[in-house]
Amino acid sequence: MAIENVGAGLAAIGAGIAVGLAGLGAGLAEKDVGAAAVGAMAENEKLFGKGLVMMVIPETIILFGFVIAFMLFGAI
Amino acid sequence: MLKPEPMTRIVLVGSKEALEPTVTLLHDLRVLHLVEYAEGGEPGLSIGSPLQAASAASQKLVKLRSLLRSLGLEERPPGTPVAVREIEGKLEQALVTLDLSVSTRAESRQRVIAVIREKEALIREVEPFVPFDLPLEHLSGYDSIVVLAGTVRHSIANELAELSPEAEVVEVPVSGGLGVLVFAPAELRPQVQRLLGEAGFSEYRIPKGTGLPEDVIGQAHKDVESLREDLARVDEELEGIRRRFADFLLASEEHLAIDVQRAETPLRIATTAHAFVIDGWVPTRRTEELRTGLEAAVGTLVHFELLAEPGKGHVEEPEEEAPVALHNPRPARPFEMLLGLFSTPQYREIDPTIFMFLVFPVFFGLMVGDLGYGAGFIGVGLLILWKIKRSEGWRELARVMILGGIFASLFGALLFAEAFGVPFHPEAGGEGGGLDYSWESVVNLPVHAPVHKLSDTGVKNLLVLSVVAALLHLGLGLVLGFRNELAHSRRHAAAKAAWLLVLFGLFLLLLAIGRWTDVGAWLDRNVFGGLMEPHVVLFGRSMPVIGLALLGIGAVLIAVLEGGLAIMEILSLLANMISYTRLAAIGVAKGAMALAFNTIALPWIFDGGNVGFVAAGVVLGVILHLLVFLLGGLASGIQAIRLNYVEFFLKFFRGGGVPFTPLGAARRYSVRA
Repeated sequence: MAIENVGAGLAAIGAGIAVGLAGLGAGLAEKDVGAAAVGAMAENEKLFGKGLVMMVIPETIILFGFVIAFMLFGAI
Repeated sequence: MLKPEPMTRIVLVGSKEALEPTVTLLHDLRVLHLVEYAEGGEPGLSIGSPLQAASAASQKLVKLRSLLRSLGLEERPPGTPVAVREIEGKLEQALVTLDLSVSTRAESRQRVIAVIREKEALIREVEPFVPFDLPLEHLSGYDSIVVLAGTVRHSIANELAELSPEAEVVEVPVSGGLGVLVFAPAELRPQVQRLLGEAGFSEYRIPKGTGLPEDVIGQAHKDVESLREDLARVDEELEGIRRRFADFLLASEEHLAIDVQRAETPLRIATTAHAFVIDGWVPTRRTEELRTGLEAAVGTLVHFELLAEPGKGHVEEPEEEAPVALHNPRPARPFEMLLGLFSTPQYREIDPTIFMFLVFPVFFGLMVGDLGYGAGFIGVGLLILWKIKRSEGWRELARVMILGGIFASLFGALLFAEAFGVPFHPEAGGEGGGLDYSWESVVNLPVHAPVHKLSDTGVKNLLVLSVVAALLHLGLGLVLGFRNELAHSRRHAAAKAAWLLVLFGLFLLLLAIGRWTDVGAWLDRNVFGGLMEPHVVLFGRSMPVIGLALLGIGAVLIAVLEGGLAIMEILSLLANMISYTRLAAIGVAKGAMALAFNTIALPWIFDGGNVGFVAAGVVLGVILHLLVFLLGGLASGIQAIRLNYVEFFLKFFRGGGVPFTPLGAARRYSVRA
């Protein structure tokens, strides 16, 4: 994948930023949900399943970043 | 295997004379899951009163438990089981004698420890006064003299002499300053204190006592010595008691606890003045056993009636959920525990244990993917099974590890052709990251890797493989969901089918992207060939029309069946599919770690030159590979479980079932004889 011009380089950087920031955003979201889930579990063991599932709901955010990165990659 | 054990609702009605033998029988058989009667449920019925054995057993139990606590025996694994007959014969007497000897010893032990602490505090207090070499009784008890002791930063003798010619001060050097002992007229106390404060005074408490500080300390040390000897003696006596009676006491506690539980059972069932009603669930295959047991124990005093099994014929209260006893072949049992961690399945839905049993080891093996580490996991698992006989939790973990290790070795040997990060054959042309060493110099194994973990093509192949795994796993989940919903709602079942269409459409779109990798090309040619061809160019990529069509039809159906908002979930399904690429990611990451550590350690071993280098290289290599082994195992295990719990279960699992808890308890310390 030889990068031949500045435009392509910028697109690559853009793809990186897209996924990176999306990952950061999802991490921030899951951090709070995860902390709350563990707290709830400490009081009631049965909430483990629901807590785990709710914690990974924000993963869709990463997907949006991934799609953009992907479309940018197509333009290289 | 796919459904939990079939349960039948039963009702036992009998006269109160038969209550005790009935309850005893139920406890011994461990077969009935009681439906508790709530006070005030039916007019004319009320909860019963405890059997006679209860209060005497409870009292003994309290004494026994306090004995166990003072002896510190609470969490011991079981030794040789003690027969119930022996317990019942000896318990009264043992309680009396043991109670006395243990409690007196425990008390004296506490007292000795308290005195030791006092002495040690005294030593600490007196210690700073040793350099002053003045008897302690001269340091306090004056009316007209104030005595102050402590440390200062610099000498205050001159200032003090100015302040009061009668004052006396003793100064000795201590670490970090000067220790001072000041005797001054009582009326000058504030000035003296101010003077000292300016010099950075840090005060000591003046201890009470007689004699020189050294003597006092010496005496205290001697006292502590003899007290410690006393303590050791008491501890030894307690240890002797512990050794002789541990098994008996633990067995007695278990037996009494079971007795008390049995005696309190009537509090949970409905009774009238002369009769009782027991309502509960029994596994269908054991109803006959219960019936014959009842006839033997109480004859016709108790009437035994089976209500229809749920799902067959009329059930009295359909909302009442049957308890769930999972029922899987032996190898899959450890996964029942993993499932229980998440949630117990409902009675009517499919039990996913067997699928976890099939899928988890494959995912784990794919992520670890190394013959050496796989063998390591098998080894550790076997070691645990050999050494740890009593903890069921560890043994189940060991079985899971062995299974995972087998698949890891399989994938490592056949798919990736490497062991401990070193490939079987040196790769041609810079594939595989460029480690110069290979197993070929030691043993030539006739396997060439179809996939090189660390090469460009290898990673892409693994990514496509992960998406295929996503299709299969999520597809299975949706099929199971379809089966689950079919029984009660055609509409939801049709929605699951629509989701299957969406899943397949998304997969074709993803495959279109992955078509230029080896795996993708193979799939394109041999499996999905016809489906990919008619294509349309969108966003600079060619997308198969069939994939888009499936996506579109599925989306419309979902909007119709589940409501318009459900369309957003298509993105989350895509996210779930992409989430499976963690299989590739972790596999490659662990491979890269192993490569890095090999690149550090192997040159030391093979090109080192002298023995020192080689030895250091071996040690380094072992430590680093141990690190990869542990981290890799942990990460792979957790991610494999997470893919099951979250992505897979989300497609069909409801959970929230009631686990089957029969009356009675397993005996670990005692045995009924």
